[in-house]
Amino acid sequence: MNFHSSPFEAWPFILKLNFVLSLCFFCLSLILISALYYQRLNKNLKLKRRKALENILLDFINSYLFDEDFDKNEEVFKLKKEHLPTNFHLKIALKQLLIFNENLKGESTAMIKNLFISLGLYDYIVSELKSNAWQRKARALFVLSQLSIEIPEGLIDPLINDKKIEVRQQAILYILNLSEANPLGFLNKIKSPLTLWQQIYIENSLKNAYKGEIPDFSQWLNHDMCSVVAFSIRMMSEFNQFQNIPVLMAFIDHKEEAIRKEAIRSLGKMEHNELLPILISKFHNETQLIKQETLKTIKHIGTYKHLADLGLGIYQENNSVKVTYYNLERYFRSKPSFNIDSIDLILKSPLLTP
Amino acid sequence: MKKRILIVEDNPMVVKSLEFKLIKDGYTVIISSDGRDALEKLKTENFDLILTDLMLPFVSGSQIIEYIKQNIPGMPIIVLSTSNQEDIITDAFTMGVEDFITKPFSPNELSLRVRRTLAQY
Amino acid sequence: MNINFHQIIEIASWVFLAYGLIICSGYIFSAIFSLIELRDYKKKNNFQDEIALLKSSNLPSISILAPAYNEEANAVENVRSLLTLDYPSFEIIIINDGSKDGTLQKLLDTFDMVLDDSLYHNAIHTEKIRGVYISKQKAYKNLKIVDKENGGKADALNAGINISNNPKICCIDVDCVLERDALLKLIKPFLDNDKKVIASGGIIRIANSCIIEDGRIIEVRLPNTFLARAQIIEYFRAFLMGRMAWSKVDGLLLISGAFGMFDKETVIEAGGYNPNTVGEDMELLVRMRRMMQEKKVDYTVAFVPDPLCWTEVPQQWKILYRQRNRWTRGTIETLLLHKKMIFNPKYKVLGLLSAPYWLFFEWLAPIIEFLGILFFIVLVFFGQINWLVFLIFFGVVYSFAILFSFTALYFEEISFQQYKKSKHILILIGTALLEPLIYHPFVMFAGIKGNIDFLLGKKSWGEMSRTGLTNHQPVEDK
Repeated sequence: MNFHSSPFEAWPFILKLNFVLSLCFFCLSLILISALYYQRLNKNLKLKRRKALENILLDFINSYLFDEDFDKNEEVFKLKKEHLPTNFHLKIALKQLLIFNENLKGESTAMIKNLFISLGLYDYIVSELKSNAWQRKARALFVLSQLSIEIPEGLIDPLINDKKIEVRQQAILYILNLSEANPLGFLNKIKSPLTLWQQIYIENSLKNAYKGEIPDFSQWLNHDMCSVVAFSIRMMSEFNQFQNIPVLMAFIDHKEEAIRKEAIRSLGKMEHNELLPILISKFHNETQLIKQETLKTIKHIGTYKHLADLGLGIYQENNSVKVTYYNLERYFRSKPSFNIDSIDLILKSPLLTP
Repeated sequence: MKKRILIVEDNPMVVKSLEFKLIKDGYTVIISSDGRDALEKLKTENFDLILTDLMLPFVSGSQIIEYIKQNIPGMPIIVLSTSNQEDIITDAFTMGVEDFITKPFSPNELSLRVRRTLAQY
Repeated sequence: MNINFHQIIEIASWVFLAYGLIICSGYIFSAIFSLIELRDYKKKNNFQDEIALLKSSNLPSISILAPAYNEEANAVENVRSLLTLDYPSFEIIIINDGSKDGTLQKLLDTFDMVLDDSLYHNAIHTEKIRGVYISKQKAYKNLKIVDKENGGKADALNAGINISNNPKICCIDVDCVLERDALLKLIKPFLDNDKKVIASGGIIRIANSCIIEDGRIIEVRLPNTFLARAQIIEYFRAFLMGRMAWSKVDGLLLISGAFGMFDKETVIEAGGYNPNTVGEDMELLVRMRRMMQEKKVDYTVAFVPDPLCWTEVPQQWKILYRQRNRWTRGTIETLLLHKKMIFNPKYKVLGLLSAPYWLFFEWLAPIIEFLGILFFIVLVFFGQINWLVFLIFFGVVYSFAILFSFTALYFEEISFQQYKKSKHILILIGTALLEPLIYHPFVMFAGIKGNIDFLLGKKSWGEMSRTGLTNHQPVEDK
């Protein structure tokens, strides 16, 4: 087994293989670190340029928005020519505009939109919309709906059924933001549960972008999807749809715990006082979650009297409910407006408070 | 004598816009981009009004409000914040702030509210 | 006899070779999976604007739980920095785990705290709670301090869980520096998922030599000791390649104790942290996952690769040695407690992939490596070594090791590069070249000692280890 002096060809296979592998690994390592180093230098350079451009844009947009003496057409032309030659620069400008849009409202919104058009960003974003990469399509839709920029229907339609969920979501939000009426029509068609994330988006769009009338959420109370029902119930209180209180009252008996909870919370938020006696009457037969929610609601809109109505049954409850009850008892007793004379004699001494 | 306004805000875009708008309105504007720096400034300088965010680096907005209420009780405070949750707004008012403006904000409305608040003091 | 000896050599050589091949292919797969997962994450999260949207929304409330043991020096500053996190609704619970120094008093004085006599429900048994404190000032109304008898980190966290009011808990080391949007980023998987998310974890970044002011990273710098830099390479490999890949196949078994978010209900149902192991962070997640699998509920564990949490790693060999010794014992304890899962198809990915991986590559790797070295020494002793063969084999192992480190560096570059100066890259490349020769053997040795200590029944954390530097464990792949 001595091949110190033997030529490479005479080595056993395993040695040859290892030798070749080592060489490969070393070469790959070299390629990798050169690529790495090159990218680093490149990025640092880009970062410097980006920072400089961002500062220019910040001043520019501020002057555009707030300075009446600013010659808009002339300055926009100059900015485009001097500072925005490529898509890389346009992308930075777009980002800055979005930041402004996100923080400002009122008269500034329309001006930001004008600036978007006059900087030529519309064409850029439409070309992004037609690109093949899904994240660019989704991003373009996001920008369009943030700024409420209208584009031809022909461009949107294919995206509503895109195979990537992120694109579909953004398309739906775009339609929601720009629609004049019936913004939530898509809820009738959806097949997968609404995640909390999507709910946040929809709520935000309804509050900040959508200009039409808020739909009556009672139309989705019988939706197949539990998440849609829960969302609709929550939105009723967010948008003060007091007319739906009677319908909503039926939902505190719903078979799904999550929906019962949502209904209680929503009714509580709308300060519907008739809710409490009913909740109290069914308290001891409810689940832990609902018991806790009931106690929370009593704290929010009820009085010590309501708490006392839960009666001696509270001794049968588990510790976690008892603890909440006890803390609530103390809370009411420490309130300055607490008037012990208005309560039945028997309740003058607290149930659980030592 | 120009009124002095302290702006405490960590978003450079918002700072720039506020500065631009309020200087045009004829105020002297001093900027702090974090809570720690704001507390330093409050200790050494005088202001007629403070406009602050709630979520700030180093020292939160509510700590600044608490400090002002204890040490400079006469100074009006306007909160400018992204939160639109009721309890956060209620908390701010119970701490004694004069006004609460939510982001996104309208610069014209803001300048109006600043003027109104200053007029009351 | 001589023939037998040669046969032994032959068999042993093949065993080590096969083991090496399996490890290498494991690495290659993990690199590919990580790359896919990283790219996906980047694409899905290039809407930075989302964070602004989140700040203004009604998000689930979070309780931050931070156990503190003899943290007098840093506790106040760290609480201050926690108070300024960007999140619409959270509470901070600092659990003073029977500190022997002035941690408690300092906190109480600074934040104007008084005893709160509200009642709490002890869902999980813990050592005695001496008192819960709340602040008189409105600005600190989200802060609670729990004073309890000493019971170790797991016990302290359990006390925090009992006292917390919110549906999500975020367990951190009190000496960690969190990015301001850390909570927003970590909660996102909980909102954005069809399945029930039981936990989400983040990447741990190394804060040594970084400039930190009032609990905030002002400037990211490269550590000036080799030891800390070697750990940077190690953490890159572990987080950007290891855990990223595990997250892709939904097989994560560990969320660092330094920074992780959990669904409180699930934690309580699983019984909370286990105070009888030194690897309580890993053990909890394994137990939670096991429970979910046994209940046949569709669920997942999320991993967020953004740099959200910074911590100091040991700069001294002695402390590093203790830390690794403890990690090894934690791994062994967890694997033994859940040995039923290993190779059990009932637990799917966890049983067939994750648990065996931990068994062979985390627990046994240092032992096999050590045996390999012993074997080599024996060969040298008997004069059986062909130095050319040795050199070539060494070359292949070494080149693969550095290639893997460089890949990790490259992943960092294309994802969240934190070390921005080009000089940093050169220093890290140098560190990666030396790491397999100096750092790795030491860590292996600590692992061996951990095995021995485990067999001898050693249970302690080691007094020094609770200085806070050391409570998390990256999935290291060597």
